[in-house]
Amino acid sequence: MRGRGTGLKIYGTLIFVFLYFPMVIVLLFSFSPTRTIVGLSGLTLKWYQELFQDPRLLIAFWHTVMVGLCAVAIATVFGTAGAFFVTRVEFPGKGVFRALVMLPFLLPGIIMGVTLLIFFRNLNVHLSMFTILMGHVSFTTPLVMFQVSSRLSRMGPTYRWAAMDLGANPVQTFWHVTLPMIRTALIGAGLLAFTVSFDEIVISYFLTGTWMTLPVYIYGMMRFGLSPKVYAISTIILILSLVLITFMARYTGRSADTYRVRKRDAG
Amino acid sequence: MKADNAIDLVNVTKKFDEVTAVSKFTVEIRKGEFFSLLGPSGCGKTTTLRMIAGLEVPTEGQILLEGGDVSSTPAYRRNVNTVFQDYALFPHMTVRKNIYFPLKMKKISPSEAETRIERVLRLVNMEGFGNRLPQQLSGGQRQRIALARSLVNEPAALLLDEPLGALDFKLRVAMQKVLKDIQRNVGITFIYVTHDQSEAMTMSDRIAVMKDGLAHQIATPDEIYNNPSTAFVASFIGDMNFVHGTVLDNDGKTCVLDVEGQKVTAKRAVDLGKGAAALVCIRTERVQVNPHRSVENRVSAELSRIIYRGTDYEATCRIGRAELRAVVQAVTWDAALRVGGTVELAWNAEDVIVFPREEEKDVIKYSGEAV
Repeated sequence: MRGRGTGLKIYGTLIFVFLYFPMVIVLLFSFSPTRTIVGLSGLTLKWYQELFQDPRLLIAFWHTVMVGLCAVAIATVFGTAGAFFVTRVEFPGKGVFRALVMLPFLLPGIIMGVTLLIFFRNLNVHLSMFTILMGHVSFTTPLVMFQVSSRLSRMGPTYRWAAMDLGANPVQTFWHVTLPMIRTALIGAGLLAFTVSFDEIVISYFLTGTWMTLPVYIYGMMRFGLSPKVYAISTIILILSLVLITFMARYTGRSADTYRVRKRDAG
Repeated sequence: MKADNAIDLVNVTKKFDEVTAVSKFTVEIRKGEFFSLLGPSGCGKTTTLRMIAGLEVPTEGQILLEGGDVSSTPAYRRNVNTVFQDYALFPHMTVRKNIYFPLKMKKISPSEAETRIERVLRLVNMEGFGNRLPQQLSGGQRQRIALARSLVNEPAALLLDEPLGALDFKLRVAMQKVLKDIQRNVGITFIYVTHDQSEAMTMSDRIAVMKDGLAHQIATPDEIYNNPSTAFVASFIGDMNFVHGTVLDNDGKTCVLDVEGQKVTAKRAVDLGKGAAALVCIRTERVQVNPHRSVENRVSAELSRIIYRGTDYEATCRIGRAELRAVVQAVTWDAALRVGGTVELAWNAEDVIVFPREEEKDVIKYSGEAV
């Protein structure tokens, strides 16, 4: 018994190290004044300073945030509408429809990237923020739709029936009952969509012209070798992602109980 | 279709694709009546309730609410409210806000609403719970709040869809009394859906017993128990013996039948001719074991099983191939009786109910009580 437990513990630790060691290395390197970690001599913030003096990098960062926010806004509207459609309307081939809608999220980015590039080229659409945004909308929309539709189906139709029974017309029912009840799913889906959009590179790379997002820009930087600036920016992105994921975890619970517990804490 | 009816259903039919959920249901429900829709699952009782609520549109027929046709009025413009089986209290609103919701939809002023909310909370004995969230309440408390929320607008009728289904047995019995008391207090028409025959029997003024979309009988609990109109009703309510018989003689008032070579007399109008195959029904508690008084029907039988149930004994007896159960109060039980012995069973001719043998397929083998 004891031996098996110890074995599992070692195994678990190894997996943990395998997953997180590279990140720790990047984090350490970003504070190292030399380019090597061997003989780490003091800590420095100079790479971070250099980051903030690189206007092109700052612009790329701003682009990424902009694309992320716009993609989230569009995906939330369309994804939510789609979620209502698939949970409330019965039609033949619904399962196939759901799978097809999820596809842009599940397909390898390279397929989506090439496909969209061919599509835009054929329509003579100039590669710009718009093309990147459309690329991001294509995979964030199914994400939102999935989150919201699973919340809707978990909720069931009874609350809606109850609201109508108590005198609320369809608009009032949506506004006073359905929307507040899917609010957490919407916020969670939005945060997740933003996180995914923020570090997306493959599709963006295909659809990018001169208008670059941060991941594409970093990729470009790496052609001149691994500069400690890359470590610094990676560390910032890592921390930002962790913050977003933490918030998201609060909002996207699997069971209805998550909602309850959270509410009670707030009250 | 009198004006003092709360609800009239006229030939109401509901079809889902090819499946007929409710078939030509006609009933007049009086104001202030406690009316139950009783039947096994899938009998159409909930569909009927949902049509009255406006959550389903009837395929055919009319629904009148206080004399006015509401067949195509949406749920939110009907003056009826529903207590759902899982209560459907809005989890993001406090108890007070839940009860305020229907008032807000009707644009009742906040001060007026406040008095009404307090009054209805007092009615269901839940004062002081206004600021709780639904998930901080027990099942029984949620039930009361759902009731309060549905009553606060003083609807023309309150619809209840198996409201006690989620509660455990003791609480269910307690809530039956609470519901009945509240109904008497407010005088609002209650339409109550249940599959639990004892619940329907205890609470209702009248019951509609349904099966496969058809209302088999609409009558008072007493009438349904003593004069069931079909073998299904006879089997669904109470504990009934069913044995095969053949009509020997029938003059329209008294019917004599042959059951396993013994004569059984039924004193009631039976619509079967001489030689017809019959299904003979006798309530288990009306069968007497070795009686002292003389009654019309006496047969000898072999005692094959005895079950002690606290307040009573259930004795299963064999008459040829037929089996008859007698439920005897424990205080009157003869302790000398043994399995394998011979007993004399007896019952009054008034207690024998006779149906055509074809109805045997509708017989529910176990009583409809929720397990």
